[in-house]
Amino acid sequence: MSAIAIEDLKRRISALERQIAPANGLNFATGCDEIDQYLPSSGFAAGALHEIQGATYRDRAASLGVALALCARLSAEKAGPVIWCQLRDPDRLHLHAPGLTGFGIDPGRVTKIILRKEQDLLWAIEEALDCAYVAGVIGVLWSEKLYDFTASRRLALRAKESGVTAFMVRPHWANGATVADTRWRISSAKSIAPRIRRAFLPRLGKAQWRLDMTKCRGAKPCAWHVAWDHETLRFDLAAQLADRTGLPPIRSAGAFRQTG
Amino acid sequence: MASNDTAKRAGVMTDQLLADARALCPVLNVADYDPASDEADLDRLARWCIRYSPWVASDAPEGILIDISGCAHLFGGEDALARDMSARLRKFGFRSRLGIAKTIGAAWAMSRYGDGARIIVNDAETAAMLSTLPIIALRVGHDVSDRLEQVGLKTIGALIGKPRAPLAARYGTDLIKRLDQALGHMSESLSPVAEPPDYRTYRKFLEPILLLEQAQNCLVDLANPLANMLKNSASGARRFDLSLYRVDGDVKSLRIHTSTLCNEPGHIVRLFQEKLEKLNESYDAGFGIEQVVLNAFETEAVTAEQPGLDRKRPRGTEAEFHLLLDRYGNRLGFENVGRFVPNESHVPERSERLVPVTARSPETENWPEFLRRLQGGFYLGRPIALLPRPEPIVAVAEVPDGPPIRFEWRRVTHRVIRAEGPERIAPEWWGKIPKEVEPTRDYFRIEDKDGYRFWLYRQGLYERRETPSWFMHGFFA
Repeated sequence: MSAIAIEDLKRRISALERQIAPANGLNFATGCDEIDQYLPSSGFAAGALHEIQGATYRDRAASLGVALALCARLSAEKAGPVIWCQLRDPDRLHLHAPGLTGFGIDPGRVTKIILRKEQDLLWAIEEALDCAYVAGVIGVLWSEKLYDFTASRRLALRAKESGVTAFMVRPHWANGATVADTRWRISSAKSIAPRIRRAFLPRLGKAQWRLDMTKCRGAKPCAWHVAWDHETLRFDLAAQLADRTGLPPIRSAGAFRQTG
Repeated sequence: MASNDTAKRAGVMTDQLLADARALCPVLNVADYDPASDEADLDRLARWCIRYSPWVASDAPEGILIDISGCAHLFGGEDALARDMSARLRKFGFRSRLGIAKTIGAAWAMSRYGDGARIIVNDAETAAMLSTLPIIALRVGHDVSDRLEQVGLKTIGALIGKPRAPLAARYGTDLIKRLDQALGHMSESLSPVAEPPDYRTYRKFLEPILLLEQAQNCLVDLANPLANMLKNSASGARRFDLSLYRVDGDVKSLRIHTSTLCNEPGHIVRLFQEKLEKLNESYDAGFGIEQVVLNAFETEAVTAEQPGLDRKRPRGTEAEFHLLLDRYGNRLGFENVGRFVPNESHVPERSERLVPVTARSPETENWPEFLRRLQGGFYLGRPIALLPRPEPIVAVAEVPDGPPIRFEWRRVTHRVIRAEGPERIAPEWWGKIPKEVEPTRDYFRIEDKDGYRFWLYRQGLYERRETPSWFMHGFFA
């Protein structure tokens, strides 16, 4: 076989595999420079598949939160509706529309699709990814059985073609190989907020998560400890609390007291 | 008791004893009188008659009324239509009598009391033709017609031209009304068995088609003219019906809904294609499909839009998104494809509603506006996920009105290290009678020592001496 023929074949194969970058090449930043610079596409790639899973069963709400937070960051780059796909009874939790405001998402922009079977769920996500008008798709796969390498490849190809970004929220026990661009394990962390004088318990601070990037195409896995700010709608790197077990509690001096 | 012609020829009569009838005709087939299923069959036949005209009503117990105004020429004239219909009915095994006239009353009379199985009356000779028929042909009761016959008024002609007031006084106004309706002096309308479509296109096949794939091809030919009709009148439809008429009289209807007014042939075809593909698994075309009809319902005026100049599939347009929603809705049911609309309530689980995307949106469904009114800001500090219903928990609070310091939910004990609250949410006192008013809730945002955040509430107020109970309601990210 001549070299030209081989070259031609190679080109055709790569075209079939859609190895070429999406035409728009859009990506969106998390707002946290450390993460954005670490990711190979300097930010999250739009038109790609991102998987988010809780580290434990209890981190389900946190994984939803991260998916919504990323969706909010994406919305800053691309207007359009957000499609939320879930099974009829996803682990006895359902989305609360007023809570979306904490992620800067107007609940009116969200179309919620409730499905009976996982097969329909994957179909719905695939169809949504085919519609370039849509900004992002969030699929809640908490009882996944069919979502595997092949299924994820189908979705990733659709996403790449249309430029729609998919966020798959997977159960904490999921570990099969998929073609996702990035995969994140989320664990909730204690928040930091100043204590108000005379208050019985301290207030809640910004939501804090440990983002464990367990897979990334083109970069090594890494982990960050971030906080989500609902006012600026961005991730910030957060300092972790020191482990003070064993130390005597600090008798806070007046200087540290906040008036409130 | 009723009997068919064959039985009558054998000597079976109405009001005969069954034993006598059996003796006259040993092979007699007897079935119980079942008016409900008779009516259902008549209704089915009436629906089949929609092939001739969209305006069809079943006239129990034995008649079907069809308004064929403007439809006859499609079948080659009234005579050809009547011929076609009685031939087809004969094939189904029905004996039929048809009357075509300018009024419902006249047609009714002709079909039942006229001389012949197919009678077509010109508008001009309606009165003359009616004159020869008995009074009973006026759709009046036997009591009225019998009394009229006793005084020598035997035909409708005898009534025409008689003074009306004495007739009405003696035999009821109904008689005069029926007479006027038959002659066309008074209007009469029929309520159709199925809602008549706003626009319709159809295709008849010379040779019945046996495969649904062929119906799919035909769909394109039907959708284009229908869409053109809609476009020419600057309107769009929200509902489309595709009816497949089988040779043996069976009618299968497929229905699609669209979330927006639609007049795009591609859109219609795509949605029906999915329905047809699904139908293909279970549908039996029998001896073939002889006619396919596409109807448009719920049409409204649309503002004209500039269509793309290239014929390629549009990408990244709003129309594409609406097509996506319609496909979801028609496959999954529109109740499963929803968007959130605010609901005027402070109670969290009632403050949002999921409505089908097809529901028309009034101006009030503006979330930012609603939230500003509800809470004075876009950010509410509300959890992202709620339990379907609040679950009772065991909580220990250090001070009666304060947040809990420890609580047990689903058999796991959580130690609270951070808390915000209470946020007092009272139910609407105006909504229900006072006895049923739910207790006021005091909500707390809680963080436990592992960093998990919960939204829980205490129901019942200490100051009102209510017994407080604690509930878990939602989760923060």
